[in-house]
Amino acid sequence: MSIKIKILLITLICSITSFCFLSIAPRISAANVVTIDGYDDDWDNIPKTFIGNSNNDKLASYYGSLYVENGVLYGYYSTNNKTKQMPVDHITLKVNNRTLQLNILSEDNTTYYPDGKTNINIYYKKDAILNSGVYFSNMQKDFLEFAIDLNELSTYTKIPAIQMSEFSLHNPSLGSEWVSVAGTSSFPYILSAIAFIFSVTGFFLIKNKKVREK
Amino acid sequence: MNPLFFIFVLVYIYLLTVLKRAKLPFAFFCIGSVGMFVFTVVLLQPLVTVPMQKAVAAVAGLLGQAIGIYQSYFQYGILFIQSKTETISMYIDYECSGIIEIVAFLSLLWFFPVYSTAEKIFTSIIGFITIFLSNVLRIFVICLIIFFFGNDAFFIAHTIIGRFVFYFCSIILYFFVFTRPQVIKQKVGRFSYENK
Repeated sequence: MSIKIKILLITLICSITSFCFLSIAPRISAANVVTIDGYDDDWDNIPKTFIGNSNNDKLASYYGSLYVENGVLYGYYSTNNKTKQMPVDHITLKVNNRTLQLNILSEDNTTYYPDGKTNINIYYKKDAILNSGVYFSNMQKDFLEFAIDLNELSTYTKIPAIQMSEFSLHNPSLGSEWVSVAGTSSFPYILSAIAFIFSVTGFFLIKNKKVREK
Repeated sequence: MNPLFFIFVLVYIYLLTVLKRAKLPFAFFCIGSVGMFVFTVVLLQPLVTVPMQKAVAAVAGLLGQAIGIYQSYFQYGILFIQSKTETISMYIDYECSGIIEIVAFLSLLWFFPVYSTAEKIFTSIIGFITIFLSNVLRIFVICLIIFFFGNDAFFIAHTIIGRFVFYFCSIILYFFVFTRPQVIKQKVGRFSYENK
């Protein structure tokens, strides 16, 4: 195959791919799996950590979950059943090795409402609000769901959002278990660089061979 | 999509024609493969990241479920490892889906001046499968270590052992595709490594 045909082919492939992408792109949905709306059915299929109490009483236990999507960390705590209320006034969040003590307060910043749906804010220190969430309580269950923007979080942790790979959440009022979620980046650019070195080595071996043949 | 992107693609293609006409094969190889890598990543990232995440989580999940050490929630790209005392959710994101490594390999291969088009197609398929399975193996090893040694072992499992497994498998692939055939075909005088 001559070089002209090859370049023509590459041009053709690039053009077709670009136009396909342009026509498909507006239809790609960026809908999040989790929405902070006071309904927890979107958490049904996300794995949850069982949080037992000191007596290992399953009736008085909780579930916790963390989920990361599109640069946002979503957190969830729920009662196993309606045996008691779920205290969620403060939580500990660990990002990589950095630990933050976070306070949860209702939006008016003074009271914590145990009944019904309450919009809450998550505070780091006094005035630093880390996004918001919803606390919900009725006769069937209590649950808390919240979202924290990783870019917002990075201003307090000093860890760039892209480098945040491991998150753990702990609510000392519920039990000793930590809820953890972690990414598993393979450092792809290092491997790409290694591939480049191997191919360049191969390239020069071919070149040497051609020189010798001449 | 930024219209600047199309201008860059056109400049890139024109540059390749110039380099070819100027008979600068090394520059053609470097700029060609690096350009193809950048443009392909930009174009394909929004399209293939989610399917790749799900595919990696699903295949890694099959291994985990076969020996019962973790569950896969592949619709969300999550693996859930439940050891005796702790649990951890591992999410497969863009950087661990293996897509960057696959695109890098294919970009280098398609500008590598050795193989015929048919050989390149065949090697692309083999390379894709190898990198994909190596990544699955890496994730499986990480989950295995966390299952037996708990969440405290995550750092070592992920940063050292998992990457070592993945890099080792990938480097074997690179050696067999890019370097070994050239070493075998080397002739020094009348001596050759090639079997006759």
